[in-house]
Amino acid sequence: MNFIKTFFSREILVYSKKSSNIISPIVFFLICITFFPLAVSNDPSQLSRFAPGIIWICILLSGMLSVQTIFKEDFDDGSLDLFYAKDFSILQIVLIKIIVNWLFSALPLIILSSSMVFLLYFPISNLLNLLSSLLIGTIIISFFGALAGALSLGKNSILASAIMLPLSLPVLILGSSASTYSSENIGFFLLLLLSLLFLTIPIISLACMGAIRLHYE
Amino acid sequence: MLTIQGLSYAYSDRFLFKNLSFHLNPGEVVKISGANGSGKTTLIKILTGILKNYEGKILLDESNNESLKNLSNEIFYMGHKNALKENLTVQENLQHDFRLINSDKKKLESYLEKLNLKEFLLTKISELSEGQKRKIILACCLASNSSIYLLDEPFINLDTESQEIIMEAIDSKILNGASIIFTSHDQNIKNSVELNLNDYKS
Repeated sequence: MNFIKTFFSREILVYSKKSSNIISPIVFFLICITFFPLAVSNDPSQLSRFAPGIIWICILLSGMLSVQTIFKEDFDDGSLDLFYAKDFSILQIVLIKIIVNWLFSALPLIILSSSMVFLLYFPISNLLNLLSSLLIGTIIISFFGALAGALSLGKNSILASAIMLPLSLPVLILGSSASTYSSENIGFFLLLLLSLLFLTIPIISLACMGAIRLHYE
Repeated sequence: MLTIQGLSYAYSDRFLFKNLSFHLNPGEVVKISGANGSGKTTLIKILTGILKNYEGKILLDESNNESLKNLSNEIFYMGHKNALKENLTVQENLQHDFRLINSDKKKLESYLEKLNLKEFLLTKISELSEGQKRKIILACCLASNSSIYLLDEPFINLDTESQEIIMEAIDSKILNGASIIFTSHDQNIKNSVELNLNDYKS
């Protein structure tokens, strides 16, 4: 039995059968992004200026809903015990779980944001910049969320938010800047985001492994 | 086959058990008993390699392996929790169950039938009783070709008829040389040696 293939297909199946994993972040995102113009301003020029920040905040908060509980179910139902007993690679498990979580919770939000930006009078010329920054930034946020979830296993979700939000600040700043500035400067911010991504993947994956192991010490 | 020497485990500065030693040969059964909180589940988790911060030695075939890791495919572990996905059906869970790596699919089907689980293959785990969930794992256990079985409260929530079927199948596994370590408060497997953790408090 190929462990990676079987585990990946099991995760896809679990996520696809649990509609709340997909629907909750989408509904939250839609509510957030609709309420901003009502609460802030309906002036197109003001909204257009704030749009990148608003979209990034909405995506960050919506994404937090599912990523923090990424390891909770496996911890509660004894699956993690089984993985340790079978001596499976926890690193592979961590990576697969983050990828599947991103596919089911962040990717739909990115797709949805490309159609919702018009509500905020976001300039179409900057749409590609926004989508590129979201694509890279949400992966980084998923890794930070996974670490928060791993550290707060068996504890309440406030701790996970308290860990995740400060970690996500640089991504929020770089991501919204990349979507705001003109195309000459976009490369710089995307490069910074990409560098952060390449730093995050190995460091946070190992940190997640360690954080999960802590619960078995 | 498996020798435990001077095994101790402390949790929050309190020893759950101290200087525990026993030996397990092929075809032998050890029943771990003791009061609630005496460390029965902890001992099973140490033997599977889930918990590592223990003192003492776990020797396998006269070589120090620290745990049974090198033989992880030869070990069948049944935890206190079932490790089943509640929103998947029985069939979907079985298709993705890593406990079935070293098992006989035909045997599994036969035990699912004997334990009256075949009609529930397309039912979600969340719609089954705790006893039925336990029987799914026991069907996997009986279909497994592992040589060492580490079972934590295997008979909990089971009806008498299922217990008889399982006991009979376990007896035949033991005759074929399988070794079993299980925890229980009241149930017994034929010819098992009892190890009461209350005797290893200090």
